[in-house]
Amino acid sequence: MANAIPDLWPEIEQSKVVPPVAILREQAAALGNRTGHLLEGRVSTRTDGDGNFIHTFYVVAPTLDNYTYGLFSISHGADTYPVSAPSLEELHLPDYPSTIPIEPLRIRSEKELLDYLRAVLNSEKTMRIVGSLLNQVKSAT
Amino acid sequence: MVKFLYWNTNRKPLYTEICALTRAHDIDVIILSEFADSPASLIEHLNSGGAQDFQYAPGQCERIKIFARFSSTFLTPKAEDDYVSIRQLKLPSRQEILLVAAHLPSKLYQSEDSLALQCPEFARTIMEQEVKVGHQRTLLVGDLNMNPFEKGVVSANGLNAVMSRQVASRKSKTVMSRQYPFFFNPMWAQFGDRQDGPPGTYYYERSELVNYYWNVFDQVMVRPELMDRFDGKKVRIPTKIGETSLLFENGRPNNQDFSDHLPLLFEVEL
Repeated sequence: MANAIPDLWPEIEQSKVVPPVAILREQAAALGNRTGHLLEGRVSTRTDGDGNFIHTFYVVAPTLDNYTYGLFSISHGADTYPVSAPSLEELHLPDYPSTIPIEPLRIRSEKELLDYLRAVLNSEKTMRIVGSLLNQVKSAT
Repeated sequence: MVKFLYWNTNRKPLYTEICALTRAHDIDVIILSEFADSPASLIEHLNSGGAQDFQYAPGQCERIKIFARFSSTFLTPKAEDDYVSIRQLKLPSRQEILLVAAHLPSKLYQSEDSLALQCPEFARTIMEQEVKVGHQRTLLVGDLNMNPFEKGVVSANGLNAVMSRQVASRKSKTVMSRQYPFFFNPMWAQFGDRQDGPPGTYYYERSELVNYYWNVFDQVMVRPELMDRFDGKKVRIPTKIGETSLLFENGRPNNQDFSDHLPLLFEVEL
């Protein structure tokens, strides 16, 4: 009779790294709180065929028949970092692209992700979209 | 019949040309990308010299501008991002449709693979909105920056857009137990010299081993549910506006005076 095959796993501990999706969901919840829930944040996650997780951050206007604006997407593999994200330059583009190819950013830590999100959420474009939606919501009620 | 004009105007103030095309073809809905001027100025031009009654139908997507010869309240934005504006077109006593207007990133700035990888997300957004409105009478138009044969357009988890009405009439394709709805893409018929029109909508030439020269980046396609109301043979790529040619003498788009893209005309029975 063959010997029992041993369990080779060590003690399994959950990673202490805060996953990017948790940080995004926190920001989504904060948008609802900041706007008295006239606008909500939503994070949708999918996987691509190459084992990457893609998280998209939406601004939702529940009273405008759940109108949604897809603000940005970030992605990462099974390891939560590095995170790939559109460069701030790309996010700030007007209605046509610049003449320089734009490489995605590689975000290597939770701190870098927080800095990135702060910049995106405070950007002129985000403020324009959120402000305009808030105005429409208030005009419609 | 609702008549549409789509044009990537390449940041040129083509007021005269847009107005002339609109009048000559009795256009009801104008969809523009790379329109760098104020919508108010275009409205002023469109409505001057006659009761045209065009309105700007605002949205948050800066790359797309939509104008309509009816109340803009009939073109409600449902979902948008930096590249796409999905509107519900609901005219009184007519069948409502979903109008998806897109100007996807240029291949000059993103690889073909990157573009193709964005299409599943794009397709998923469309499907989410179709579930929300409860039908698939969807029309997609825009500068996809991909040809009809490229992966992002043809792959099942991308736009799943096929060249044949007969294939599209099967409604969907199943791959590994997942169902993907088809689009019928009539733009395949717009390639090359055989058809009555230019060989494409956009000309691009550089020193590479693989070069198509003419591309059909500007496309219109419909879901099978809308095929009976959409005649693919009536899609046109005009090269003249009155006596003015949009082409250089060598037949390529005159990107000095006009746009590097040619416009698209099509109509839908609603």
